[in-house]
Amino acid sequence: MTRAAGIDPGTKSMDICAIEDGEVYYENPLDNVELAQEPERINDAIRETFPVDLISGPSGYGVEPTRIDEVPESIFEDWYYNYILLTTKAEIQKGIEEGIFGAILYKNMTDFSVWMRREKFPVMFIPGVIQLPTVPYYRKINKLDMGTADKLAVTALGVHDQASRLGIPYSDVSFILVEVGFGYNAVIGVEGGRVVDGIGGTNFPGIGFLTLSAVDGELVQLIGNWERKDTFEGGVVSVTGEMDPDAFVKRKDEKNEIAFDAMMEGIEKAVAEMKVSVKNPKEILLSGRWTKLPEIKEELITRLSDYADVCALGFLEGAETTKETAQGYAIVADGLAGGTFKDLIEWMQIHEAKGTALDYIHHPKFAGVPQRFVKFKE
Amino acid sequence: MVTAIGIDPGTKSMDVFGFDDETDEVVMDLAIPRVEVTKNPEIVLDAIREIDREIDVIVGPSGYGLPMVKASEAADAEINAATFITKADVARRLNIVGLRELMFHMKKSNLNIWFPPGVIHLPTVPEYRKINRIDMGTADKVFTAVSGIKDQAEKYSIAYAGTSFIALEIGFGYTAALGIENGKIVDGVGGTIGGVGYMGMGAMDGELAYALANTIADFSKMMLFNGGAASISQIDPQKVSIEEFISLARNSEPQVKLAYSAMLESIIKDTYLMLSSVRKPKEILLSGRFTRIKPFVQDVTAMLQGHLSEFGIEAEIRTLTRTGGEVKEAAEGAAVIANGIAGGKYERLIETMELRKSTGGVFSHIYLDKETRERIEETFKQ
Repeated sequence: MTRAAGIDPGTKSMDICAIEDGEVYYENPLDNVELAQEPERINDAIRETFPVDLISGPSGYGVEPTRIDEVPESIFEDWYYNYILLTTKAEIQKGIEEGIFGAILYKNMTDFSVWMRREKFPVMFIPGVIQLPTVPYYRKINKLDMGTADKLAVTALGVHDQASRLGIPYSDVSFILVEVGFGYNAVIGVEGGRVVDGIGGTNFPGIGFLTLSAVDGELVQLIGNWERKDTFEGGVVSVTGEMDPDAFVKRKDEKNEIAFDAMMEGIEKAVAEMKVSVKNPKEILLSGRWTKLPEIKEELITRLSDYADVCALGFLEGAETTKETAQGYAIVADGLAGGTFKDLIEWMQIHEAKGTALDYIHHPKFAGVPQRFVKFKE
Repeated sequence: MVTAIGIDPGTKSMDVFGFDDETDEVVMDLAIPRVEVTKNPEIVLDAIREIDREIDVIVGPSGYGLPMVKASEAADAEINAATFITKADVARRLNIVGLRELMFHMKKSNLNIWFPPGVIHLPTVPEYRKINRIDMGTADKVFTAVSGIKDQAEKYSIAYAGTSFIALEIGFGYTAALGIENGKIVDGVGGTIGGVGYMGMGAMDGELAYALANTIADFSKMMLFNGGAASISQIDPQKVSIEEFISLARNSEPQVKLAYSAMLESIIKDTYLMLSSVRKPKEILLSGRFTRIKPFVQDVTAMLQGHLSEFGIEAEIRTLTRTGGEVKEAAEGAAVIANGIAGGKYERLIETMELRKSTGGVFSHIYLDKETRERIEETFKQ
């Protein structure tokens, strides 16, 4: 019997999902606004999953599978900021002083992980798409985000979902996953049951709800002092001023109309781009908070049906309230612990992922960035 | 009869092309090394004056573009915005400084010079595609589209409004893709928002932008000319020719092959980005310095054919027809625009493209906070 838990740090909520022999026995989606006020609630929630063999910790941009106790306690906090969140403690403190909500979330994630390290919980940090050996090197060049750890996790759910639904082996699974989240969007390509390409939120060819996505290099040069918060802006909210998703999808004025078309066409462009890497996907799988809204779902089905059959990603057995990404986190933990999903994780070569998100930059000016960080591993 | 000249500011050379629309005589076909222009921008105007012939209209280079305007009537702030650059880069005397100075010389000259728009100024591109974009295709990419529309219309004996294609310009600096439907540009991926180019890295991962901007003190425009196939290959593009680069890649030199694979797949992905805007292109038209190299065209064509046929798209893939011997296709496109402005035989072409209806500024579509937008406008119009 294997019991495994996943902790998915979303933009809107931090979800905990735990499974026993492949079935969900615990779910708890914790709202981030409430967590910002009472951070200790997540500590109580994770204890409620115990006993547990392995926990997939909130892994941000992803690292090769790394047990929490592999990182010395003395540098753990900096390590987490550097490699999981691709930032520094000083930058996050600056963000908190400026009242940036995302900075508060990052600090809470770090504090929570530091606490789990101290409590000696069986935590493993998991990879994102870029660390996978199944993605050719040339597709990784100059990328940091090809799909964060939660996007890889939900892709694992996708491989399980299609294989069991269609009754096919993992080796026959092929799909393009479309994840439309509160902050970012992502599109991941799977062929032969393995991830072969990914377009992460900060590489996406169209705006997300919060983020402007991939950046026109000219815009970066124009602004000059590009800050962390700038990656969370320039999306639908910046175009419309509308924070309410329902009002946005009703498209009641011209700005909403423009933002809606931009976001939807961006997703279509990402799927079209992904067809270069996955030429004949069996399906396009829709996942994420936004795809539950009928207006978004219908629009995506209309736009994407030319590319492949479109359907919603299925849930794990027993799951009801947590996001698909949290279910995926639990699957990865279970597989890495040798549970029900061991074969899946090994087939996808997630256990063989290597390195960090910082390993594929070929811009000469990037040389100074890793030097600001603590060592990844001794 | 109209005699028109167009000028294309490429990364390696500034190309000047002129023709007479009655006889189709080529009156200018000259590629001036860009470094020479940066040293002394006026040599371009000197070369035009030397041909000692009455020129009806000249379409000049205009950087990121501005709503189509006669050079003498362009505001200084418009020229500055179309060639926006930091003070530190002015001091470095990058090529764009020479371009800006040339535009000011043109403004003061007694020649009938016009500045053309970039893709972002066109009314035929929906606003939602322009969000947070600066470079959807600089003015010289519009030239390429013009050449393509003319070329396809003539090849198939169809009206300009019947043309549809995806234009891929693979240059020394960047790769760009444009979507053309019904004789109008409807979408574009400029060099800094597409995939890996030869010099430039293309669109920037937002996280990389953050990392770079917080590591180096001065975010120079030179940053945008880095991180591409040349950087990945670890070759010096000023010493190794692009022919040698391609040859090394095809001979499986590992690092160069890696860079070449990234560059080729980016070209295919840029094409696919355009397919959501131009669903059934009649053709894929290749242009730019790289497309003068046969093995490269063979590689791109084979890859595109393989992918597009699986997608059910039967578009012909070919290089743009060139009239000039020295200059690139874009310069010919610029001359066609000049002819249209002068009321020559291509007037209908530029009307179909709605170039005269171009509007807005390079910074008009940035949807960031008001303070940032105002700071940008204020900084770069000076």
